[in-house]
Amino acid sequence: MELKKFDVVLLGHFAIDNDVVNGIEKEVTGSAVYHGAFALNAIGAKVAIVTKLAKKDFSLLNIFKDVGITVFPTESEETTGIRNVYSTDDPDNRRSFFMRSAASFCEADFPPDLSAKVIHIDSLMQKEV
Amino acid sequence: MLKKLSKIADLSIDVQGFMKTRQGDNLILKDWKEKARIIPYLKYLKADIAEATILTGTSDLHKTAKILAKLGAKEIMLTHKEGVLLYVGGEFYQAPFTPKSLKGRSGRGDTCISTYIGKRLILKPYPALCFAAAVTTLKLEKEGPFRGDIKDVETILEKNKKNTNLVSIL
Repeated sequence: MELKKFDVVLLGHFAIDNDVVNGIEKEVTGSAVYHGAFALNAIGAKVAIVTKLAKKDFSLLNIFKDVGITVFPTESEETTGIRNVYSTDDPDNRRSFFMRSAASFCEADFPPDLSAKVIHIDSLMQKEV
Repeated sequence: MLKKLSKIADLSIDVQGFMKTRQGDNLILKDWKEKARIIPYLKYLKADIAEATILTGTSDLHKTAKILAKLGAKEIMLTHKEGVLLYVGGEFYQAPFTPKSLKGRSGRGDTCISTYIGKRLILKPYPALCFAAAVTTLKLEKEGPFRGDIKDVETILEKNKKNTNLVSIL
């Protein structure tokens, strides 16, 4: 088996969130893997994402593929979504509300031919991993 | 699953995914019951100040870092609104966030820890931390993930080196 080698693999749900900033709500691409993967890609690390989301949303993953980030998705009924309310200028002061969650990860979701120097667990809420 | 992954690579965790708990429609932070069992497998552990306080029972970030190190994590990153504290090998390091605005508040910690673990592959802890804090500063200034120019990161690193007051306030 030939291994697919990466510097860092991020494991976590991709999300379609609603952010509320200063009372204005809008749908945004969310998730820790989204922010983490772009940062790693920008600094020149070879990065991959292992994620889980609804099949109907798989096309949203093109944002990663377009910049050379490899994604290993598995299918779930739902795509995770969190409503984040920022009421002040303090990023530590955030209230989060559940909207939807993809299914939990299992060992079979992690491709056996994937090799990484670091695996970062970038999950969003309990029971995801 | 986490034990198995720790055998094929260095393992890193952002504790939010083990603490953010659904209670009705609210997502609230609760203590991570399995922390003593999982943390010994971690090379990197990242928490923000709210998570760290619940996880260890103290809001003193230096004490928190020592408690998490005692549980077995090798490199502990703790973020807060002014910057980031790192505890590695019995030494503390810190670096500031110096954004001109807070247009991109989502993803602060995700950007910081990801950049750190990426840079740690080629740098020692302190330079990797300073780089991660500079990338996070730029991320905080714009909506969406960091897609900026590394030259802008280097400019912030130079500014922070000259402004030692920034380090002393953390």
